[in-house]
Parts: sequence; C-alpha cells; structure tokens
Amino acid sequence: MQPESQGFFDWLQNTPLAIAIADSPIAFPWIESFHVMAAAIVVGLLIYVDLRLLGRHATGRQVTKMSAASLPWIWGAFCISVVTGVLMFSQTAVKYSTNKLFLTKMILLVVAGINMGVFHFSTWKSVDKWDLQLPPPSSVRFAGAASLMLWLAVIVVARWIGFSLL
Amino acid sequence: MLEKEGLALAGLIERTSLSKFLQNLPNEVPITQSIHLIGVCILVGAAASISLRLLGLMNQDLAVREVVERYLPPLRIGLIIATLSGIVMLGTEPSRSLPSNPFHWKVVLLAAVFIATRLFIRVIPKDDSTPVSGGARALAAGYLVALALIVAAGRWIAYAA
Repeated sequence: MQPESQGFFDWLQNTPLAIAIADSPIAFPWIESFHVMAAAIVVGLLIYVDLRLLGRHATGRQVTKMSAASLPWIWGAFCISVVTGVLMFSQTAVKYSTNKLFLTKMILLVVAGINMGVFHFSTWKSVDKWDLQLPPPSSVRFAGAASLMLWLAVIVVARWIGFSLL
Repeated sequence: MLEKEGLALAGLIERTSLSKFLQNLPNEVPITQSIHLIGVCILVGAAASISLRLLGLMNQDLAVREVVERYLPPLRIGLIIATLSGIVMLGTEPSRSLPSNPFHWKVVLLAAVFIATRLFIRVIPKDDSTPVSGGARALAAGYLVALALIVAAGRWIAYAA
C-alpha cells in the first residue's frame, strides 16, 4: 500500500464522524445491523434473478418483468449497504485497507459489477429474443451463474473479515 | 432477563461431547456463520418477494397465489438452513448466545416467524379479483419487521457477549 493512500485512510479514520462511531458503544453495532439487513436484501433478491437467468426459477415469467420488479429494491438496498459499509470502514480504515480479505471482498464486488455491466450492455440488448426462452442462451446462463457465485462469495468473505480482525 | 439460566444451560451444553467435537473443528465458526448468512439471504429474498407483493409494492403483475406458491418453498429452505446452522453455532459457543438478551429476542422473533410462515398460505385471496386483506398486509409488514429485528439481534449477540 502506498504511503499517500495510507495518509488518506489515516485522515478518514480521524474524521469527527469516524471518531464518533468508534467512541460510541451502539453506533457500530447498529450500522452493522443495517449493513447486514441491506446486504441480505441485495443478495436475497439477486439469488432469484440469477436463478431465473439460469432457467431454474420462475421460468414462466419474462426476465424483463422479473428484473423490473426486483432491481429498484436491489439498488435501493445496495445504496444502503454502501453507505453503511463506508461508515463501518471509516472507523478502522487503516486496518481494513491492508486486510487481504477486505481487499478480496472489494475485488469480488468490482468483478460482480463488471459482470453486470457486460451483461447489461451486450446480452441484454437482445432480451426480446430470449425473454421466455428455455433454457436461456449460454451467455445469459453464464452471467447468472457468475453473478450468483460472486455474490455468495462476497457474503462468505465478508463474514470471514470479522474473524481476521480479531 | 434469563441471563443466569442461560449461563447455566450454556455450561451444560459446553460439557457435552457434541459441543466439544464442534469446538475442536477447525474454522467451524466462520464456516457455519457463512452458511447461516446464505440461508438468511435465501429467506430474506423470498420473504421480501411475498411480503412486498402482499403490500402492493412489488410483483404486482402477478397474482398473490402465484407469488406465494413460487417463493414459499425457497423461503422454507432458507428458514431451515438458517435455523439448523444457528443451532450448530449455539452448540459450538453456547456461552456466547444463551445468556444474552439479543439472543432471547431472536428466539422469540424466530418462533413468531415460524408461525407467520404457516399463515402466508391462508391469506391468499380466493380469486385474483379479490383485494389483499388488511390482515394479510399486516402479516407481510410484521414478517419483514420481524426478519429485520432478527438480523439486528443476530449482530447484537456478538456485542452483548
């Protein structure tokens, strides 16, 4: 890790908000509770969307309709998990920034984002052709399988972070 | 609330050979907690799909019956995974959970969730044109609140210990 970035994490950890979170006996547990709730909604709803992309769930429903129903909730919960995640990160920023499991979680999130971006900007353009197709095209199933595995990995790695900081 | 009783019970469980076996398994706690969280995600996703439909906030293009019949089986699977993995966690570290108030709240709320899960099938309108009843909406809202509190209580167990 570069010294400049360490300086940033050190600054972040010493902001009044980060210090207030660290000093409060209830702030971190509550922030973490909301983080886990939001993450459970994100991953919980994504599991069923991904299984639909794999042709293993709600096969009689158009992928477009299922996505339209789920995505606003997924994005809303994702925003909450990002805000709470940043707050949790801020109070131990220096320690987190060099934690291999935390960095692995960030990489998994980036890869999950790239997978979603590639799916949205390429495969999704032909959705009219495979909206109800069974089994869905291999590119759709690949995106669904990759998303499912990546998000479950995020959950598992996130849980292990807590044990690595003990 | 029940702290002394919880500690006494934890002492009994900790001395069992099954608990000792679990305590000696390498990485048993993080592995079981990971499985527990995956079960929670399966449960929360299905519960949100059903409850938000009953509240008229999601999947409104689908009949309530279709949503309940589609998501109730995975909801039960998630509930079973979360409960069984929770029991294993309890067996491994009983003194962490049993004396703590958040754990007691979690158990009470979990019991309510088990009962409420059985009620989902009963609140389905008789036909697609019948509106969702007030009782069904209350059940859906209560279910989501109970799950949120269970998640929060689960996190607070760590801090209470």
